[in-house]
This record gives sequence, C-alpha cells and structure tokens, in this order.
Amino acid sequence: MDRSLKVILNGKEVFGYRDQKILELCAENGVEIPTLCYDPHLSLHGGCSICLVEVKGAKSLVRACAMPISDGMEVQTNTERVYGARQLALQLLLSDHVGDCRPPCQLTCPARGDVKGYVNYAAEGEYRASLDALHDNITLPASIGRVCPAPCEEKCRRNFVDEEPVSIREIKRFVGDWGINQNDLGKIPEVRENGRKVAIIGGGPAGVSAAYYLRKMGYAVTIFDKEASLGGMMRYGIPDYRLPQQILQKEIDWILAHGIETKLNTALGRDVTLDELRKDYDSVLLAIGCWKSMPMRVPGEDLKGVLGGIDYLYEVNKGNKVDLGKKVAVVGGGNTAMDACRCALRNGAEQVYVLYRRTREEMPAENIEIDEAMEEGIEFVFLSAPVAVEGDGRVERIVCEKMKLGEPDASGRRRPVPTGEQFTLEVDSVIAAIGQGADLSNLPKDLHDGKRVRSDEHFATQTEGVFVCGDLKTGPDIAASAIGEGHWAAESINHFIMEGVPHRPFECDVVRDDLGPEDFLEEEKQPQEHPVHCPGEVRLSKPFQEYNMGLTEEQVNRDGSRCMKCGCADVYECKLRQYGTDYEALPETFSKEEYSRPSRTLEANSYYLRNMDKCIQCGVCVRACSQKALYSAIDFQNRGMDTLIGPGLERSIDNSACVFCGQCVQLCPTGALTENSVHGISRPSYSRVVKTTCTYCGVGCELNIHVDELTGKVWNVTTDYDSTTSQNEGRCCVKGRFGWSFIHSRDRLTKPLIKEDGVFREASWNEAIGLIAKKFTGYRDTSGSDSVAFFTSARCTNEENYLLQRFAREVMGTNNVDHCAHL
Amino acid sequence: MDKITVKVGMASCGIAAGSRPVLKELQKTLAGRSEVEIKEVGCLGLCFHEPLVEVDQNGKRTVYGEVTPEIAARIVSEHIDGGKILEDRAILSDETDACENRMVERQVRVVLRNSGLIDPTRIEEYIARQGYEALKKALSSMTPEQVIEEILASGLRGRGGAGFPTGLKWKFARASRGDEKYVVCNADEGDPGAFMDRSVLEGDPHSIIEGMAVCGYAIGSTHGVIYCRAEYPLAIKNLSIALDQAREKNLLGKNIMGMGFEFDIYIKEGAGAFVCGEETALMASIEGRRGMPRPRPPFPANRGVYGKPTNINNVETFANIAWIILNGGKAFAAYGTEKSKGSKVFALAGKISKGGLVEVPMGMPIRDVIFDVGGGIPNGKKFKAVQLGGPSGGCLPESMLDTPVDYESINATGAIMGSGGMVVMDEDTCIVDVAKFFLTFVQNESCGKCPFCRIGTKRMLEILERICSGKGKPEDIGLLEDMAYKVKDGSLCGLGQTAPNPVLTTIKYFRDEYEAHINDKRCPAKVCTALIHYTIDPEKCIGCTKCARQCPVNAISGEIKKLHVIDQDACVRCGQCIKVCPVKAISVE
Repeated sequence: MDRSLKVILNGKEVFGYRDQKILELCAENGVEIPTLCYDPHLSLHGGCSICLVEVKGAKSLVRACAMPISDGMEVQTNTERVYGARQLALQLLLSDHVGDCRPPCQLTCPARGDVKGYVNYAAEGEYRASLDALHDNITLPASIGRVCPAPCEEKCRRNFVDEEPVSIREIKRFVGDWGINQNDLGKIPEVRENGRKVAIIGGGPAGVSAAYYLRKMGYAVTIFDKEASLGGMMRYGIPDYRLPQQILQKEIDWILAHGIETKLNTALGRDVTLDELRKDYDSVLLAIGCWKSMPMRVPGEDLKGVLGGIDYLYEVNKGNKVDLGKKVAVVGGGNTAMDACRCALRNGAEQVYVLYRRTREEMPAENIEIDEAMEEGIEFVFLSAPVAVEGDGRVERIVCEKMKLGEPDASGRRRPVPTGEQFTLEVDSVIAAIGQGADLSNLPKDLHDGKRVRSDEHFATQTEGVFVCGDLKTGPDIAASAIGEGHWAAESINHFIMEGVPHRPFECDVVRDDLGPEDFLEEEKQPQEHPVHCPGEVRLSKPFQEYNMGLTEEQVNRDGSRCMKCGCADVYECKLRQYGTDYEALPETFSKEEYSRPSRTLEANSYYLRNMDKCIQCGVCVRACSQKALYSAIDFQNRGMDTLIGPGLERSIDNSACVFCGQCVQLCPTGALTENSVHGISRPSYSRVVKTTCTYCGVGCELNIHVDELTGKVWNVTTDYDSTTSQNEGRCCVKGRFGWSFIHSRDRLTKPLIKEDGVFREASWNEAIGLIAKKFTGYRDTSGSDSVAFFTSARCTNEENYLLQRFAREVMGTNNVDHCAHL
Repeated sequence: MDKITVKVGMASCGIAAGSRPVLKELQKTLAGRSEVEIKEVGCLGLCFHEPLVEVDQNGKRTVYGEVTPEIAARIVSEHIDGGKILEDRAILSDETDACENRMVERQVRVVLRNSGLIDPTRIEEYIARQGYEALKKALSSMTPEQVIEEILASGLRGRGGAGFPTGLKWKFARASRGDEKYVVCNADEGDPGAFMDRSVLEGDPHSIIEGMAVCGYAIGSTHGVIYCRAEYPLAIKNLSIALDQAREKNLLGKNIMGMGFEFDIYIKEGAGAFVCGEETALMASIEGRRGMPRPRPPFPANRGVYGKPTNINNVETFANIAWIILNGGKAFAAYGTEKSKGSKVFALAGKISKGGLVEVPMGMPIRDVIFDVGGGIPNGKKFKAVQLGGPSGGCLPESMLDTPVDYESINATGAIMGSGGMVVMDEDTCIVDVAKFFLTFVQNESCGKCPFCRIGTKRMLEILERICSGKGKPEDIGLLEDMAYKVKDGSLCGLGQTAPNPVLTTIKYFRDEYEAHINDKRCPAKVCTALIHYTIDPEKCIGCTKCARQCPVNAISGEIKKLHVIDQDACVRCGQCIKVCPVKAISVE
C-alpha cells in the first residue's frame, strides 16, 4: 500500500494510505482509540461516539472509525475536549445500562474480594483456584475468614431467598485453611524487580497487604514494625480463641516469602525517622494503626486497676499475666469490649460485667460475640454509664448512672440520656473499651489533624512521597478494610512512582440496589450451612484455644453452590466497563433516582441470555447477524430511547430466524448478550486460548477454546475472526459454540469398554482394537466380504472418511461403504 | 364581457380553515356561467386570512379573507354581479385603496412566484407563467457547466438549513464519476411551525420538477426522487398529477423536448421521521432501510442513493432554480446581503398577528419580518422571543431583533436559519418551558443511533423538567451548558448537533428566568404549574360560585355570596377559574 499521506498524529508525523480511517492509522501507530461499535469485520456504524478525536479545522469532533485521513491532516486524540466528550458519552451509556457489573457482596467488601469467584471455585472443589482468587484481593484469607464481620453477607442476595446469606466468611476461612493444611498457600511468582524501594511503617493488615501488592509489582519493600512479630492489631488485638496467632503467622510468612524485607522491633521516631526513610526510599507508607485506648474521662481513671481495652488485649496476646482481681467491669459495647470481657473471664475473673450506655440493640459488637459472651456468663448491664471510679490507691468500685434512650443521633442509634439515678458496682478492675485512637506523637505535626493523618483520596499526605492507609487514615475499622486500604495505597504509590502523581485506581461499576425477595421467587430455597456450635463450658475449658472448627468440605461445597452468581457474566470482558474505568466515567453522574431508565426485555433461550437493559445499541449484533451469519434474525426497532434490538413483531428469539450460531453473543461488547454457560467467574487474565478444530462434523471449523488456568476447565468457546488460516472465518454453528458441556461430563467415555456377559468392563486400546479386528475378520471369512457394510458418521473428518473407505475396500474387500450425509 | 376568474385557496391551510364549503357554494351559485371560471389555487401566504377567495376581473385582483359560504354568496351577488367590492371583506385589491397590506408589499416572491396564483393541477397554468422556459433554455442554449456557473453566480445557498452553496454542491456531483446519478429533493419538512415546503409542493409542484430537471441536466443525472413525508397527502397528490402531466408533455422522460436529455422523477413517501430530513438518513430511507444517519464522508456527491453520486437539495432550493436560469444569477444576487443572496421564505407562526408564509429579501431585520410584515404581536401583548430555525434553532430575545436574516448573522446569535420557521412568543411564554418543548420534540425524534442524541437529550430534558417542577439545582444551568456543548460537538448528525441550540440560546438570553425557576422556585411567566398557585382575593370575591362550578377537580369551596377558597393541594392549576371570575378576584402567583 502506498503510504503517501502525511498525518500529524498527536504532534508526530506519521504516514498512511488513501481511504485509511483515522482509527486504523492510530492502531498502526500504537495510539489506542476506544470504540464500542467499530469492528473491522463488519460494516461501519459510527454510532457509539467513543472514538471521537479532534481534527484541526473540523467544526466538531470527528469519528475516528469513519473519517478517512487526508494529506496534512492534524489529529489529536488526547485533548481535554476529546476526553470530556468520550467521558460524557460513556456516562450517558452507563446511565441507560441497568444491571450490576460486580455482585453486591464484592462491592460491599472493603477489600473488593472476588466473592463470586472464590465461593464458586470452592463449591466445585477447586480450592487452589479459590485461594488464588482470594489472594488477588484478600491477603490473609484464613485470618480474615475468622474475624471479619462479613458485611458482604449482609448484602448477599441469597438473603432474599432463604433469609440467610451464603457463608462467605466460613468458605473463605475453609479455603485459607486448606492452603495452610497443604502447606502451600500458592505459587510464589518470580518478581520482576523494578529497582524502586518502598518503606512501609506498620506490619498490620494494611501494611502487609500493601507490601504484598507492591512486591508483586516489582518493588523492593521493607516493613518496619515496632513489635517482634507482624500482624498488628490482628495479632495483638484479637484473642487466640478467635484467631490463633500461628494461623496469622503462616499467612504472613507466605507473603513475606515473596521477597519482602522486615525490620522488627523498630519503631518510628525511636529507631528510625520519617526523614531518613524518605531519603532512602522512593516512597513511604504510614500504616501504624490506632493503638491508643480512649479514656473514659471520669474521676478515678488513673487509679491502679483501670486499663484500656486494647492495652489489656495486647498484654493478653503477648502472653503477659495481668492481675485483674475477681470482679471486672468492662466498659463499652464493641468487639474490643467483647474480647476484653471474655479474656478477663479466661484470665480467672469470677465476675465480669459489661457496662454499656445503650441497649443490646444498639451494640456495635457482632451478635455472635455478644451471644457467646452471655453464654459464658458475662453479666451485661445495659443503659449504664460510668460516672466515677473509686478506691483507695486501687480500684474498689465503679459508680454508674442509669441512662434511658432518647432521640436517634447521627449514627442512627438512639442516644443515651442520663436519668440522674446512680448505682455502684464493687469491682477490682475496670477495662475501658470505649474506643481507640491513633498515636500521632512520632509524626510531624503538618501530617495530621490531631486525630488522624490527613490525606487526599489517593492516600497521599501533604508531604510528597509519603502515603497513609488503614486505621491511621480512617480511624478504627475492620481488618478487611485495612487490607483494601493497603491494596489501593499500593496502587497509588505505584502510580506516583511510575507516573509522577498519586492515583487510586478507579473502577466503573453499574450498581443495582432495587432488587428484593419478589425478584427471586423462582429460586429454590436452600438453608445456610453453619459450623458446629461449641457450648460455653467446653469453650472455657480450653480458654484460649480456637473452638470454631469452621465448615466441613461437604458443607463448603453445598453452601458455595447456593451462590446465585449475581453480577454481570461479562464483567471481565465488557468494553463499556473497561472504557468507563479508563475514562473514570461515574455511572452515578446520572443517578437512577433523578434520571429515568426504560425497562427492557430480558429473554433467555437454551444457549444465551438477551438482557436488553444492558444493550448500548452499538448494532454489532445486528451487523454480525446480517453480514457474517447471513440470517438477519434481528434488527433495530423503534427509535430514540425506545430503540430495541430483536427479531421484531414481539417474537422471541426462539421464534425468529436465529440459528444460535452465537456470533452476536461473541461480538457484543457488553453483557447484553451472554452465553448461558458463562458467569463472570473465570477471568481473561487467568485464561488461556486453545485453538482446535470442531469435532462435530467434517467441515472443520476452527474454534478457540477458553480454558481457565486456575482450574484447567473449559469455560467458553469462541471463534477467531482474524484467523487467516481457518476456513470458517469466525463463523460456526450452534453445536461448535454452545455444545461443549460434554467435555467435563462425568459420563464421558475416556477408556474403551468391552461387554462381557452383559456387563461393560474397561479394556486397553490394544485389546479393544484386537477384538474388533478379530470380529471383522470373522465376518469376512465366514460370510463373505459383502456381508459387511460401512457407514461413517457426520462427525468424521475427510481424512477419517478416506481411511475408512480404504479399509473397507482394501482390508474388507467390499464396496459397501457410505457416509451418512453421502459426502 | 370580460372573463372573470374566481380563485379559491385550496391548500392545506385553506382547507383547514374551511375553504371546501366556500368552494362548493361558489360552484353552486356560479354553475353554468361560462364567463366565470373557478380555480382551485395553492397558498397565497396569507394563511391567517384563510379561507381566501380572489376575484380577477379586467386584469384587476381583489382578495377576500375569512370567507364563509354566506360571504361567498355575497361575493357573487355584490362583486361579480353587482360590480361592487365588498369593502369590509377585501384584504387586497387593485381597485380600491381602502385596504393595504404590508405583508404583501415588502415581499420578494421568487419561490412563491406562482403560489396561490395558479391551479397546481394544471400544467398549462404553470407554463403560462414562463413554466419550463428555464429547462428549455438550459437544454437548448447552455452547457451543464454554464448552468452550474449561473447557479454559482446567483449565490444561492441551500435553503434546507445548512446554507451550503448550491452551485458548489452541483459542481461536486457533476465531478463525481458514476454511471448513474441521482437528484433528490428533500421534501421531508418536519419542523413544528414550518410549512414553507408544503405550500410550494401543494401550490406550485412544477417549479420543483423543473428545478430538479435542470439539476439533472447540470450534474448528468437521469433519476430524480422526491422524498416527501406521507403526512403531506395533498402535496403528494398534486406532485403526482404534476409528474404525470409533465411526462405527457415530454417535459420528463426520454428525449425531453426532443433535445436528447433523459430525466424522470418518482416520489418516495417518508413515514414522518424528523431525522429523515438529514440527508444520509433520507437516503437510507429511500433505499428502504431504517432511517438512520451515517457518518460523512462519504458525502452524497460521491456515494449517495444506492451508492451512486447524488445531489440533494430541499424544496425551496429547487423552487429557485428556474427563476435563476431565466432571470440570471445576477438578478437573484441583487437581492440579499453579501454572503446570503436572494430571498428567503419564512413561516410565521405562534403569537403573531399575521401568521402565514412570507418571502422576504435576505438581510431584512428580524424585527421587520415580525412587526412590519407579520403585523406584530396580537392582543396588545409584549414580544418576548422568537424561535428561529425550528426545534434545532435558537430562541432570540428583543435585543437581537435587529439581526438581519442571513446565514452568518443568524448563526452568530446561536440560532440557525434552518428551513425558515419563525415561532413568535409573547410575554405569557415561559422560556424554560419553551426549551423543554423543543427538546421534547428532538428527543422524540432522535433515531437513537448515537448516545449524545439518544440519551444526552433525554438527560437534558429531564433536567429541564426538574427545573420546571421546582426541583432544579443551582448547578443545573452549568450542567446543561456543559452537556449541550458536548452533545453538539459529538453527535453524529445534524439533529443531535443542533438539538441543544434552544437550551443554549435560552440560557444565553434568558438566564435570569432559569435562575428564577431554580433559586426562587418561581416561574415569571406563570406557566410552570408546579411553581404557581391561584388565590382568591377576599376583598374582591362576591361569592358568585362561578369558579367553584367551573373547577374540574372541585378544589374551590365556598357558599353562595360568601368568600370562596382554593384548596392548593387539590388545585391542578388549569386556570379555568380565572377565566370565569366576573370580578377578577382570582390571581396567579
């Protein structure tokens, strides 16, 4: 081709040929132009409006897919005007795109754990795949699987069916434990060093998580921690009966094995300063958490025998003896208070009170913790607030005021209001578990506001190169949140070091929150699986031993299969979501509260799902059907916002000209058309394409088999439109594309069987072929050559047909040979 | 005795106003009178006066307006028989000075040269007024290049709205190689309030046929297609008759006028989609495909109907051609401004005294068109705005009225010339409501191909709806503007690229009115029902119960001769009570 046309592309001189489109020229020169409706194998559409570029002299923006280049043309693909227009187009498309990209469980998880993935792998017994999927987002699954309050389960739509969620947390724990029991938490990949260094202060869940993801990106990472062991609050704030320290240690060890350095017993301010670290490292991440117990602000607080909740738990977890006396009052209603009161009991206290200013309803602690504490004999004194701690040198009693519930406060819980009535409890110790704060004493003043370290949305503090994440940034939060914080902070640091500016990754998610039980009436009910309950006295008999043994394998398989695979099947391949992410298009720009979305058809057939609520009207399916498949089974109907693609005349696909060749499904850029067999569990990044020839008939269509590398299982079949060697040129029939479930059928024959006395037995290939040969020879010799006739199946290839006719003629000596389709 | 011609306006506007019974009455009373000929003619442009009856006698014309069958009978008895003009009914007359009509005086009628004067179903009448002379001239004495030169010299620009020089378009089409070429007449007039093309199609179809034939000769095409919306049945009927007559007279078909030129035309009826006025959508529709635009290039001149080189002009453009060929490009260019030559037809509609069709020279200030030609605002109301260029045009305020009507000046205001609709609004019009109205139209007419138009205009409309219902947010104006610019910038076709114009121009010229809706929750024109309420003045109410009886939702209570009260929750703000109150005790805030 004569490349004689000179084009200035983003300021660079490039050459193209006559009639070449801007988009093609860009592709040749490594400039990616997003597009949803352009496909080189189909006619031009020009509708999607994502490929807009700026051409000098043109009045408006130009469609790169449609505009041919001309000599001297100046094209800009990355201006603010282009970005803004593309972003608005995407936001508009997203505003008319109903569904959920990712399931609610995953979106609720502060670490964005791929719940659908790991739960379903676990349900199928693919624990290795499940664990790998977990590690993508959740660094310490066995530990998190023990202590997470599992906000994901609250949003699980299984609640709409069974009023009980999928046991996401227990499944996570099972998979984590499975790895620990295998003594193999996963393959440690070879890290490609990028020569950059990051220091992480604090080895709790946030710091460890950040270290893991930074290391995988090639950074040399050093974790500094003031303690002798890593784990932070997960180690020193949670008692062993809930989270055994050796479990946590094994998970941390695996992470460190990726090549992460640690400097233990090294405290910021004492052993190392921020300025030193800034000098030695490309970036510093502060993740030192919230370790200060909040004071009760009552007289007598400084008496001996008054302890902070987290301080007490720290001592317990270090194995240090704390003398609490016989009667202990724990003040507070959160998980720390529950841990503290139950530890006090386990440390030998005879009478443990929990004093809480509101009622059980308002307690922030997890229900199971409260139940178990009550079961173990803890006495809960609700509606009581400490007024003073009294004693002569040491705690002797605590004076409390009776409260009553008033109007709801900012948190939505009813506010405790003093009644004036007081009472006194005789106690030997008081544990104040009413909250935690950050210890900011070793940090420069300009970094914090007295409560937390200040940062922007990208985890960057106002000191360049210094980042913050976890409790130190958010205030006390759950461990899964710290893990997520560490992950996104790592990404932001990477962006800072590589691109010069911090940037937290953006993910475009269309969300659906309008579903309820009425939407799941056809779903079969299936109760949740629960771990065996361990009675209180048994628990107390082995005070610090773990007593929740989790779910059994059968339970995990069963419970995992309750997952309804919410979220979009196309989530990993959807171009709309990809571009929405690239262009940071917020689906909420046009929220569904304020802007309408017409409801469109959802139609299932035996092979694929047509969810027109997700259709962006790019017309790829219409063109594929008329130009590639040559059936024209579908077309546009109506116009404007009411445009609908389908067979027309209110027919279903089953009653249309569709032959289910599935080319529309393959080419659909969004989840509007999805194969029934695909659920958005396998990811392209873990998928391998195996080229093969279809076995259904002699035509010999070339197919792409998609194999999930985590499980080794086939998860989809597509075709290759770009293949220059295939004779089907991307086409195939319903069998080739959709008829592959036999591959993993348990009933599939994999060995020859020989029937003896009416019963099949397995045989070797040699034995089987020998038997056939013997029989054929017998027929020929006893009844003559023409007593035998040969037919080949339509599934035989040309080569097989040829071989069979030679066999018939040369070996058997007969011309009685045919093919069932007379090929 | 001289022959008398009685002309009855039988265009759609006339028929709608009641010209059929008038015609019947005239046919009845004049039956058997050989000296009187009754003609059914097209639209004269004085639509507000319809039904019109014209009496031509001794070379003198008298036009009567608002004719009823009774008046028709009087015209026969007093004027035709009695020789006395009905002074009270004549609106135009060569015989008396009693009536003068500025609306006619200031016009330059090129496109409308035959409209309302001839019977469109009789080719002889067209021919009698120099019809097909231009085609003859072109075929006999001009080369195709000379024809194009003449059109170029005239400075004629596409009257469909974009204003692309017609001669240049023809030149491209001529230069384009192809065994077959097409001449397409875009008669898919879809703007609300526009009826220029319809009047010409109905009243003077041959002028279009002749213009297309000249074009066919100029670009080397033998095929013509008139794409006309099916909602114009009379236009299609008259066109069909005209085509048949032209073929009979060998003005279409093979070897036209014996000069070896072949050209024929067929009519393609459109299904009434506004977007099919866009040339690529129109071509798709001609081919029987879904009427959706496609990106350009390729332009129609290179790849048009059925992939063949095609020249597309609209009705009004073609109607100018014969005149230009006959009178010369220079004569045409003598009218108008430096860059916009000739005359332009406008359809005056809305709150204007003399609604109808006028053809004025380019460059006349909008103010003159509205107040002088169009007679200004009726009922003593104040002028507020004029929407120029249909739903994708712009809304101009009083301060822009001195803008001359030419392409550049109008574009500079943010409006567009469009096909020539002028919708006049008075002080009772809410400007946000107007923007909402026009956006509703384009939103309904969006083909749905590109998201900017399909979803963008929908979202903009929803923001306007929110503003009109009192839920507007301060940032909405900025959001609307930002979206509007991007929708204009990124839309695939002219529909989307101009759809935000009403919003942008109303924000530009009437921002305070938007702010009143958003910040004060107040509709200054008292139109947006969510932002107004009706109250009864206790001082004035006489307890007549009229309002209570009129109220469709029984929101007004009160006993006879006692004060009445409106229940604001039940009130639907229809305004019926105001109309019936005899003492003007009800006010709207």
